[in-house]
Amino acid sequence: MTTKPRLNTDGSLVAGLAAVALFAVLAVVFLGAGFPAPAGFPEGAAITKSLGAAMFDIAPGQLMDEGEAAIPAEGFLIAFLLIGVLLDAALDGALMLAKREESGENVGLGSQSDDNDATVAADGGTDAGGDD
Amino acid sequence: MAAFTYAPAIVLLPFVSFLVALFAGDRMPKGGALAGIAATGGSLLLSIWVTLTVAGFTGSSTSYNEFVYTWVAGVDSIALRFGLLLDPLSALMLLIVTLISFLVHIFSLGYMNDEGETGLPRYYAGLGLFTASMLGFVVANNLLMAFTFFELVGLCSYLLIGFWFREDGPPSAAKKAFLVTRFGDYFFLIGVVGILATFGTGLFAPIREGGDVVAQSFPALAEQAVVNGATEGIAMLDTIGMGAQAWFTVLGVLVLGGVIGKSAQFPLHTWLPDAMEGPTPVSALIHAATMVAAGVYLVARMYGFYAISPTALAIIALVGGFTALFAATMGVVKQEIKQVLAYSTISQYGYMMLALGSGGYVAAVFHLTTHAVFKALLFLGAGSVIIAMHHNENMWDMGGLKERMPVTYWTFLSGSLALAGIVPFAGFWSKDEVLYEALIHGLGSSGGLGPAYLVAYAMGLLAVFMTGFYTFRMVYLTFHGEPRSDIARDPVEVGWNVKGPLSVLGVLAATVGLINMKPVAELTGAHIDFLHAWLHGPDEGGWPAQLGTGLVRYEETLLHDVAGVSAGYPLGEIGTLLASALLSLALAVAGVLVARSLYGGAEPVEHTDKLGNAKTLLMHNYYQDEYQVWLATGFTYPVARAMDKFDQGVVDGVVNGVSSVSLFGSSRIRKIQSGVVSNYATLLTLGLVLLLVVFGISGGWF
Amino acid sequence: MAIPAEYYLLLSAAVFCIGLFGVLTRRNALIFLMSVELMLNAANINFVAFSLQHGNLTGQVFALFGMAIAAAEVAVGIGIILVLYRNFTDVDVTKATTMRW
Repeated sequence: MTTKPRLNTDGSLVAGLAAVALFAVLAVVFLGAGFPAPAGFPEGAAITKSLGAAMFDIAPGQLMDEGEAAIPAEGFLIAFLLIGVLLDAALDGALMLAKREESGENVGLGSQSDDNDATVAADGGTDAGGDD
Repeated sequence: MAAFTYAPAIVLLPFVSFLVALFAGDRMPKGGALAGIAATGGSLLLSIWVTLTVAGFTGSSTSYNEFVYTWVAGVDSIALRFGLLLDPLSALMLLIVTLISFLVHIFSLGYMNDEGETGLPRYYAGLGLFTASMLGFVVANNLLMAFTFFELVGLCSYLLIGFWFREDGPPSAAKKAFLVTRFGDYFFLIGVVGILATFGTGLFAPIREGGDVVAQSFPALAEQAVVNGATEGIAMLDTIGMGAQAWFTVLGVLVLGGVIGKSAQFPLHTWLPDAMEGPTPVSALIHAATMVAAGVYLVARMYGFYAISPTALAIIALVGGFTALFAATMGVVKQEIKQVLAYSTISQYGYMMLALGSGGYVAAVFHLTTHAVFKALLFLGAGSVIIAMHHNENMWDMGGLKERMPVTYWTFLSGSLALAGIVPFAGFWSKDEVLYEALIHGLGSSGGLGPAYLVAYAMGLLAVFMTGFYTFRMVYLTFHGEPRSDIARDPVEVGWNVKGPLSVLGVLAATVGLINMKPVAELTGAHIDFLHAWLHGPDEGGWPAQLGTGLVRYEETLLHDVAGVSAGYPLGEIGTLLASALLSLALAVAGVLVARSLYGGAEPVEHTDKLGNAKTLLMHNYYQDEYQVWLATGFTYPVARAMDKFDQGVVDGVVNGVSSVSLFGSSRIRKIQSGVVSNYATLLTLGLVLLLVVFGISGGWF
Repeated sequence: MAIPAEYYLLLSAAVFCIGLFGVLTRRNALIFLMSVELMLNAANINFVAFSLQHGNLTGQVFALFGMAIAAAEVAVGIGIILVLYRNFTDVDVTKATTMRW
């Protein structure tokens, strides 16, 4: 049994007024800017295929079936590869941060001297620190 | 000429003896005394040589006025230099200072060394520095140099009065002397700055190169401004908005402040009786013959400047006359021998100021010379008595020393007769001339000067009676009658290093009057007024033409034409002269006789109670000391405290306020850094909003 | 009759400001991270909107890359929250305030 959701009012909501103010300013600016009519995509364009071609620096025409127009874009192969590297690095970083240090070095504010590793809630823990 | 090139050695020899006594004195057998005696003896010989040269007996030129050292070479402005001015007045003063200093050094062997005093190197070093400073002051050729040495002699006086600094009295007396004279010197300094600013020069006499004036002196410039109206060069007059003569009077009165302090005239006389806490030879040298003469000498040196201002002359004469009487009244009730002599000194310097103010330049210089001799003699005699009495100064414990200390008695008597002004001793001729000049100029001058001089003359005349009285009271109480204490019955013997200087000065006191026996010269027509001739100089050319000083200029041109000081002879020249002389002699003799009748017997008693209330007033020195202490503590101190509060509260307060604003502001502003990231983000957002709005408005996005 | 670009921008601004509101007011670090994700997605919407506006696919490719980066950033962010928890035993961002005056 749960109760209905409640608005989170732990902290003060006054700071949120800054966000509201920003929205107001942005809204006024955007609605006042005159944009020309959008040049949409042509009828029957193969958007996804063109996306793929753009991402891998493949000439779009090679992927198209008949009756499908390609949409021009720039090549992003190098960016794709770099993003791959980046994701890899992020993964390693996250693992490194999450790993415990040897023999209880991961000290906190007056906790975990010897035995209360089991009470550290986020872990779902193994006893007695150190490597697993 | 050669004498003049060696003249700086006159000042430097005692300075060297100061250094020797200071650094090597404790290794020397007599603590530096011999160095001092040699140095002052050498200076004395050089001074004699300089005097002979100025008199024209040796060398080719009879005066000297050159710069010897430049401390600050000004470009298009005042340059500060040391230089020597040697003319008859300075040569005479050099002789006096070196002679008295030499005799005092010898006397000190008996007073200090033989009495087993400690700290002698400091004493002889002080004497050496003092002699050097005083000699430097005497030969100074410009006002700034004179001021420098004036202050130095004040310093030496402080050091020497406070010689026995481990007791309570001397350091306090030394401070009092220094502070009171310094108070006067403050006005002197303002006067010096005023003169330098007004005239652009502080020279006492012009410097010539081959007949042309290279650097003009300020008395000459002042004279041109007043007599010829040549005031273009003097820009100060426009700034001040006064006429030339009025402004020069102001400057003269400012310099007079220093003179009054140093020569112990009313109201800055209070330091001199307390200065008797120092050793007696110091009192003889500094507080009788030389340092206190510095003020009078300065006025005489600058006489060309004072002579164009009748107001300044009247002030000098009145201050002098009043001081003469005022101090004499206080001297009659004192019980210590040195105190009587101290008040006597103040009184006699009053006479010199009276002479200078009333146009008797020769009389003033004459009295300066004779007073230096007989007052130094009296102080040294008192020193001899003090040695004999085991440093007990109270005259009521003395008595009967006449038989026991004959040399001291006869020389002291010679000095006393000179002080009282009994013919034919020196003091008679000089004091008589002072009073005569005051009388005739009082009777003959125009405007307000005449009555002013006559008032001052009356005061001086009354002081003659008192001088005779207190001097012989002192003599009778000390030397005559029956001894009143054991130590008087059996006094300590004094040696020849004490009796020698006393004898020399005793003979001089009797004979130095011969240098200017004006009454005899007038009566017989013989040219025996040597001092008058000495200060007058040759009628044509010579040093009066070179330097613009000398009697011709002072008396005939300036005093008579500019200041309106002229002589009146109610009984004809000879008649007035004789009448004045007889009057002052009669008063002096009357004073002596009254003293004899009151104190001359075998068992004199105190008569001062008969004065009644006046006695309290006199014993308390007219409450002048209390008044000056009140000025310092009741008046100056609260003002100083208020100033201090202002300085600390307002001036420092502003500075502290700036810092406390900064501290307060920063302690509030740093609380922004609360460590909560969300707050930082809020601030970021607000900033962004603001920036966008500003850009939007200025860029016309809306 | 394509929707004019202003409305996409307005949507993007709204999502961004909702994310910003979350960043400014929420105290739980994980919710804070979710709000940051919202802000990133608002940017992606913006990219796509302009891709339509200009008829060029570059914007959409950018949006894809943006999503990838957002994922990487979340991974590292969760790691940081973990370390934060270890040091302060609480994921409340208002509690971690030792770097202050």
